[in-house]
Amino acid sequence: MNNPKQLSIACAGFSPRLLLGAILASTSLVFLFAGFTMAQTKSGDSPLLPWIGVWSITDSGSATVDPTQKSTVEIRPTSDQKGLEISRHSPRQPDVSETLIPDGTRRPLVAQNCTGWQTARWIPEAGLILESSETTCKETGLLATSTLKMIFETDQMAEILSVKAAGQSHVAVRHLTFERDLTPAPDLSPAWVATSARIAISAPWSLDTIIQLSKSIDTPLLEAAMIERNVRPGLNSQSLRQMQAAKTPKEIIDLTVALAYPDQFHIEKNGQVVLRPWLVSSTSASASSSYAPGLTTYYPGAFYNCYSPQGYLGYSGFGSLAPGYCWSYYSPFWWDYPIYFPVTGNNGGGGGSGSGVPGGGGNGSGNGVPVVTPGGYARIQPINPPHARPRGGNGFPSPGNPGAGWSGASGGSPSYSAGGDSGGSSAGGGGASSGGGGGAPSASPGGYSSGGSGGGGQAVPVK
Amino acid sequence: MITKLHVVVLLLLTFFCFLFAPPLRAGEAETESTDANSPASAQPKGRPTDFHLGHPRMFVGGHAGFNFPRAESDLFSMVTRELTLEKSDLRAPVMGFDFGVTFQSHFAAVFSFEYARTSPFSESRNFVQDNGQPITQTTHFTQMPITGTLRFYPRKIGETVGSYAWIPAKFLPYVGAGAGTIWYQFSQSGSFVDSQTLDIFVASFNSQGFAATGHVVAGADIGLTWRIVANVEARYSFAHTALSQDFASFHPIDLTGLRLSGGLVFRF
Repeated sequence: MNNPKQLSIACAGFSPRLLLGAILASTSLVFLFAGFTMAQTKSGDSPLLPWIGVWSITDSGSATVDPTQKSTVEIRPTSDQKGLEISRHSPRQPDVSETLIPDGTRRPLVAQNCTGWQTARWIPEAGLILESSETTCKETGLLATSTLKMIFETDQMAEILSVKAAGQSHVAVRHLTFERDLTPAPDLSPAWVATSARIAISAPWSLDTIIQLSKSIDTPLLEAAMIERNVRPGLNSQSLRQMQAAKTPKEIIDLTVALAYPDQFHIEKNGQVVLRPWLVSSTSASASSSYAPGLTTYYPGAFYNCYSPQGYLGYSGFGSLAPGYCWSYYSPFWWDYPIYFPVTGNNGGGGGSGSGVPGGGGNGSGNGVPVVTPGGYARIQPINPPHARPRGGNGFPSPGNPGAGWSGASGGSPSYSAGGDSGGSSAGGGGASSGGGGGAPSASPGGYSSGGSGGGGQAVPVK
Repeated sequence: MITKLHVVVLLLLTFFCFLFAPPLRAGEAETESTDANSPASAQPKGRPTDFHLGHPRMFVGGHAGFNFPRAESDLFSMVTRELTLEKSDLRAPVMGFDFGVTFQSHFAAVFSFEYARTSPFSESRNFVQDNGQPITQTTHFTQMPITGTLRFYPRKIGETVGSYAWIPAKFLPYVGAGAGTIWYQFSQSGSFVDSQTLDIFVASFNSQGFAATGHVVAGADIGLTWRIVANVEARYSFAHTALSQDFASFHPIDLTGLRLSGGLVFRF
């Protein structure tokens, strides 16, 4: 115990050996816990895991569908675990499948007279899969699409489709509900892992996430995603400046503000197309023959006319749409839920590419083609006027009305009082009036004058 | 005459101004528990505090301070010569109200009403009564300007982010100029000494009226919240006007002076 260190440890009630043992034990526990956590993370960190399972489309209109007629979308990992195999199964429709590899690679698209590219990528910080395509057709010009897959609740997915054609944007939203996990397979994670992954991926977005997304996702698409996700970040002046500094689009800033203060704003969706799952709910002729019957080959990412036997319109945009036509996007998520464009309009454009909103007879309902106007997908109106007004418009003095309350104090005729009541021991004498003539006391640069009307005594110099 | 009471009142007023308006910290919002970067689960309630939904265009407020009259006309020379008055005794506490409209991000038009009054007590500087008692009198000097001022803010008054959010600047220096009218009253009552006869007489002298006034200002708005702004201002006013007949043969009274004030402004 001669060693001072030993002494101090002993004084603390620990022997050196005990202390060393405690350190080793706690370190082991830390590593053990860390290893467990890392193992957990490793098993659940596949970005594709949350999507895997069977989903059903739950948009309005499909609620009345006979459950036995319900279409489901099955998502499973590709054999190399790098992508997703997505297939739609419907009792009355041929299956529609696609393979999605969200690796950001741009892949060529070739379909009849059209060429272009498509790509998909995973945005891990937001839990999104973003697909984009651009195609140019000989006759009709450029058509660009973007789809965004988003799990916004543990069992809720939204697929948002943005279509740009002829200089206009259209947005369509599809909702899917998680039905069940896939049949367990050796290469699949346990169900609870997938559930955990869906919980994680549906976590609310932070402001940073929104800012980052605004740099990589089309504004209407992100607006739709924010509305579907009901994003409500905490906002303050610092975060607003952060958005401004990041050059976040004005529409996104406005929507963020409106969503953050929902009691102050009314949000309308602007440019959302109508979804009409009439083919699914129909109990008449077999869908397989009524749906684009003349076609034998379908191209992923292409639009098809719902009615025409020669329904394929490829990537022709909307220049050749006729009133009342609808489109179906060849995708497992959209195929049997056509995107219906109730064509009205007044530009008379009948068929050329890039002709803008196609003309037509109008449907009399007052509904125009749902186009995302420059104001954005979300149309925001303050519920209350943002500017307060002065209560009653009065209560403050103004130059023209100097104000009640003091004007009466002005102007009174000058007066004086004099006499023996001033308290001075020898004070007295007469008074004066400012308007008066001789005999009135007055002050002048030379001093004061009693006006000769009497004095109350004689002043003597201060000694 | 500025008394200790005046100073104490002004200090208390300033203290309460800051007490009732907690200082604005960077990033502070009504939903303080909501980190701006935290996920959306924390739902803001009510209205934001450090920014505003919409652009406030008007403000109303009050201020208090002191008026430092230049008092260089011969009237003041006479009274400070004859009586135990100093020019500093004519300094007066000021209270006022302001109503303003902001425009063009850098300008504000402000209409102000003020009231300043001091009532120093004095004695004849050179004479006493024959029993040795002082010859006393009281002077009342009141000024009530009603003015309009155009302020120029070199920095933007606020910043609009997007279409709806407006973030006020936290520190806004400004300069400005304006004009208006001022009502004044200069009166004296008590015992006076006839400078010719040395008679002591009791009298009241009064002069009051309106005068045109012009002024220049420099000041700063300090944002406490988006709505509440502390203001400090220095204003130098110019005004002269003729005196009433109680004060004969004097040059126009000098109503020029400096006013230092602080106050609170509420935007709406």
